[in-house]
Amino acid sequence: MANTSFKTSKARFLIPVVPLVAIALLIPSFGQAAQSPVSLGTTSNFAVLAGSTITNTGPTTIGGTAGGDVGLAPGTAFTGSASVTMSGVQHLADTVAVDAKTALVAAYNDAAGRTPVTSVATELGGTTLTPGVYGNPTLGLTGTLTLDAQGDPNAVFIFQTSSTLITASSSSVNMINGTQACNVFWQVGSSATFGTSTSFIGHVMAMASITATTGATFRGQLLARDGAVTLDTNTITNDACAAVVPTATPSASATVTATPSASATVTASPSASATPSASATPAASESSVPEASATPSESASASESASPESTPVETTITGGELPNTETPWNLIGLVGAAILLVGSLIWVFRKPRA
Amino acid sequence: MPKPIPVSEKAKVLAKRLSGGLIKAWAPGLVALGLALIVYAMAQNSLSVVEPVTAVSPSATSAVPPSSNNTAAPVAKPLYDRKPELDELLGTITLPTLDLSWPIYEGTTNKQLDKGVGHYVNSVLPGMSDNSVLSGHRTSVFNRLGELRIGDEIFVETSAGTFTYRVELTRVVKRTDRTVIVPTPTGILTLSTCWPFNHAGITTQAYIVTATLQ
Repeated sequence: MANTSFKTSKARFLIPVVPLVAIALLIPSFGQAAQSPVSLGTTSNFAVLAGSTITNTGPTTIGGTAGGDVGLAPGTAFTGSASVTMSGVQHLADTVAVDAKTALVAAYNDAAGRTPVTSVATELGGTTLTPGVYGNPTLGLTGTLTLDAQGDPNAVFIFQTSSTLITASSSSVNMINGTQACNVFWQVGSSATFGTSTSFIGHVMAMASITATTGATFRGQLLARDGAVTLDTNTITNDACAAVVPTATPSASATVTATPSASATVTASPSASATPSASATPAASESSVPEASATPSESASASESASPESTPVETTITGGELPNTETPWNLIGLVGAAILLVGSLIWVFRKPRA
Repeated sequence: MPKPIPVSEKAKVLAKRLSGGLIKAWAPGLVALGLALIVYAMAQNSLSVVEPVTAVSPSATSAVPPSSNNTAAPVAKPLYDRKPELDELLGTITLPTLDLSWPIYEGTTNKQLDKGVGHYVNSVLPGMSDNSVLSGHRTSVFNRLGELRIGDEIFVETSAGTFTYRVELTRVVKRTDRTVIVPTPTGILTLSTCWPFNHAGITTQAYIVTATLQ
């Protein structure tokens, strides 16, 4: 009788738990649902929007069919504006800029909340991704990231990082099979830094600051919620989406090796990126072989060891995450303590036999 | 003459007893499992003792490699002709004031940290200009890191020579702090481990020692 009551109380509790756990485990393996573009609201007119300051050095060009405005709020200091050629207007702490900042918060939160998120390695260089939401606590780009819309001009790519986005010098984002820059979104939890001569694509929404070093070019927006935007001889083109994407790209997608949803990602990129038939796509010419394997991602250790390019590390990564030096035994001990506690409680409060 | 119990009924009774037994064993089972995990963790903690290497005396250090390594070489030409493989033994770190010396391995996963000190792969190698980051467990190799004082020397011996660093700063940061692993214009050695040293649970802070290349 006692057993029966147990069944009806505790055992029954397990019935929904087991399938729920199974479903929770399986969900990540399901395919990526088609995403709608992040709603930018009134920020869409701004090629550059910042919270504290905007600093420019050298001749910078800002424009685009969606809007070439420059906005700043609550800050007011736009240093070096004299050497900026812009198609839009400046909004320094006016109501337009304040409204745009409000819209930016909404857009940022929208992008940050998109699911399901496919985990990718920190290093995006050398990978080809299909539409979806991708995330890692830190994102970096050395070499070329290829975005493959698979023929869908409305395909949306959303990247989420709780920390930094950093690109190395001469890195680039390559768009194939109908990918449009207007449909690429980057939600950056802290700051974004773009290396010299980086060629970047998408709407960059950073919680803190955005730094574009010398010669970096952008097809999209630089939107910093709280911090500064620092420019140095850049070109920022904020274009609206094209209604039709022509490019008679043949089935080049078949040649692009990397499996997008796989978390392994990095792969032996030097040879892969040289995909011979990919030369059919005009943009593919941009994806020159990423020099050596400067793959900083620690999680890509397997591929690192696979690439015996004997190039010594030349610089230390900017803003690297401190290694986890916690011993696993502490965690195991804590789990043990929790289980012990639960077991003890059940034991103490179990129903006495009738 | 009692009526024989059918086999199916017997099976049912047996199954019921078995399941009843399991259910009754549920709470004691959890308690036993919890205890086992705690004991296992404690045992592993005490077993994961890293073998120290023979301490390098300061005099021997300066004798092994030419001191020119420390002065002119870092910027002039690469000290290392290749990037080490993950898990490769890079050399040793010696803390003479604590009379400790540990092997350094490439990488900072548990695989390397269980054997000694790990070199963070996204930082320059010891002796180079810029920030070289070494990490270790607070329960083993770096359990006495807090005893290092400003001005103490640290010797790092690798295939490129032996390099002398001097402790310049010690601090506690959040483990999410992104201002520790950053490029530096000069040769810096950053040692990191979890903090507090004697905390039993999971920590959210890190102890950082910054030393400058002499």
